Amino acid sequence: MNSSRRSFLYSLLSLSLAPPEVLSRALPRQSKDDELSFTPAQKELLACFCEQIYPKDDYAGAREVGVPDFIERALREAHPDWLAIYRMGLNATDAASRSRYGLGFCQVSFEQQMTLLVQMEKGTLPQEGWGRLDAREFFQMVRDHTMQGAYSHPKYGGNRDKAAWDMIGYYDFWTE
Amino acid sequence: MTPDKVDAVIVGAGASGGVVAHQLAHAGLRVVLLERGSRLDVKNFQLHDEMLTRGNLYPPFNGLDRRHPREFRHREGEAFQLIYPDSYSYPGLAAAVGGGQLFYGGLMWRFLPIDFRAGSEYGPISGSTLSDWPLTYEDLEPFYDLAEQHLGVAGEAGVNPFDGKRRRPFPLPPVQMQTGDLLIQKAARRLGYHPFTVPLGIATEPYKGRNGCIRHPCCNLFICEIGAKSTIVSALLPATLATGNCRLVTEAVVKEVTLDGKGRPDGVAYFDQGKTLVRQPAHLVILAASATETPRLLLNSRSRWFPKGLGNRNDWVGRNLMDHIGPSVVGFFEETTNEGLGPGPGVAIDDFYGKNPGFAGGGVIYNRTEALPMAFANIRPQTAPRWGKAHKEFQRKYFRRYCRLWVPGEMQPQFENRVEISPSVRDAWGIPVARLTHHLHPNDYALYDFFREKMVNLMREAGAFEVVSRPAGQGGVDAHQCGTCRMGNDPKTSVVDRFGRLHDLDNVFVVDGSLFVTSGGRNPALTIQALAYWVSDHIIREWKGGGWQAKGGRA
Repeated sequence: MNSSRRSFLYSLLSLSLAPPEVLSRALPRQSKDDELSFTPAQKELLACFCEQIYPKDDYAGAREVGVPDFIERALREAHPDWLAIYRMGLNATDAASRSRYGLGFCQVSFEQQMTLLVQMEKGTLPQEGWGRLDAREFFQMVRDHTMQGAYSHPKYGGNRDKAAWDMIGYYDFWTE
Repeated sequence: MTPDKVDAVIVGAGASGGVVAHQLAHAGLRVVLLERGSRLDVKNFQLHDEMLTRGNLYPPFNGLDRRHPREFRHREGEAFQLIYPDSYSYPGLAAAVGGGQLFYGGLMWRFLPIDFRAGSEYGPISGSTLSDWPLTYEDLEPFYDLAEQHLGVAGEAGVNPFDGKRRRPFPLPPVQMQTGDLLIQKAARRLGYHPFTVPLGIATEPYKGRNGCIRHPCCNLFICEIGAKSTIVSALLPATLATGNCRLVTEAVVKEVTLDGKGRPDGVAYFDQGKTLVRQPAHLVILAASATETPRLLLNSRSRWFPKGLGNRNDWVGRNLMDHIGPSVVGFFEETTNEGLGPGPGVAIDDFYGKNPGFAGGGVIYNRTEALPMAFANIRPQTAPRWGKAHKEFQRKYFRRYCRLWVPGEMQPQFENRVEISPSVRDAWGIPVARLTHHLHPNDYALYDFFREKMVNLMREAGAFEVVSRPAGQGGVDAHQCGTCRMGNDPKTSVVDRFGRLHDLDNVFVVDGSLFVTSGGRNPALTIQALAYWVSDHIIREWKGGGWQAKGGRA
């Protein structure tokens, strides 16, 4: 592994996004190294979440540009200890949807998903089911990581085909 | 094993230490240059990549680096908080050969003549230790010139009416303004101001064997892969090492200044490769470790001769910790304002540099728009959505339609704002860490609010339909840290003399931003380096060869 890559892996998510203390405190003391990825259901939940943050419109959305893959890879290679936070948060998001709408987060409408996330962002979602995790901070983290995945260099796994860069007119004339 | 005694040991291979090493080595002194970080080989990094910004890459910035804790509080009486490089209040400078300048925005202005007589100009201010410098702009001018020529500064002489006299033009042509700069320039003229091009430590064309700037937008807070940014690494280090008189030792964590049996400094002790404690004997000890680490080192060098630390007889070491205070004002436009080019800074005005109503000091206002995709995702009007379709739409509509004005406003020096050493927290090498106390002075708030209004007005005049700014915070310092080993003529109210030498000891010098008497209202890099040339010149003139005995023979 060359140092460029290691730098990325080592520090990727520390860009103003280090887990707030509340999130850290919620961490289980030990996480098993052999569980370094999401279950298919969790991955789908993550994709639905990210698609809300960076939705498809006339231009590709989070799913299409690879944001969930970016996050999964970054967690696995740079911050395996945060996988537990993601799992807890995604499961709690799903549970909140079931409790509100009787259906999982990916099964409810786009507008219903948005309503839930707005509550998460504002901190008005009932704390039930979140344990020691703060829903608002979890939302902020996924939001920030989604922006990173969408707008960072494609070599990190998101921003597939430079879709986000082309959309806003950013042209990296040096590395191309 | 103890290395051979050298003429000078320099602690810190950053903006100032690199200058002193260059000058002394060329004058024939044998020098050891110690750096706690590593010598980065830029070829190993794929740079010009937004993910690889300062905060993400290098210790101690890297948030996961837990080797360099510090403590912070705003005021006396409050409890200290343990802080790490990813904490907001951690004063960050890169631990690497090149230091903070590796990542700077290239701002390389001279201070104005008024800065050196700030005490006389603004009068005594309650709660502030504001004072004149022990040297004038005219004293420093030859060394500003030397720094500009050696490091490479691009600018336009004779346009800014507030500038001090200079002996010759800038060595490099100014950076070309972008559309937003031109809009602000025109607006400034309509308001009766005097806009000029920001002087930058950027090789705007090939310079002394260095590449010319390619104008990539990843510039401020990024290392320059092609060496166009003017740093000691790109401009001075190769020639310094080529003299054969300078040995660069990286990953050398300095513990203390060592003393001989009579209490006279005779070198430093450092952890080699972070592990073994090594003594480096030297005739001269030159501290260039930053305004946080230099006072920490002096205070950690306690002995029966100097129970309060080296040079600290009058309890001034670490005092008067400053940075800059000033608002950042973002304006959104309906027309294109930037062509997506680096380095970012373009146009500036000095019309509010001092002599403002109701408060002391001032600063230079300049446009520093850096259009980067990830960063822009967080630049929004207060009411704009932070995510979702509207956020995405905003991203594509305004990515090239915004400007950012900033001012490095002059911050008041306060005696109780200081660097101390912690009695309880130690770093990974067992060395007591720096603990910082910093809060704002009423004058700082007044300056902030004044500039916020002026800059919002300027941005509106330039055509922005929406302008965003925030009120002042509570204080704290970052990369512009300075003031903690003040230079002065009176040993009772300063730490070093006008040549950077400790009042108490004739063979220990300070050359970094610690020397600053006031923060000035401009980015500090060029003044730090001019002072390093000034101190070097003094050392070389007094150097007798084979030993060190200062004039006057203070022991």
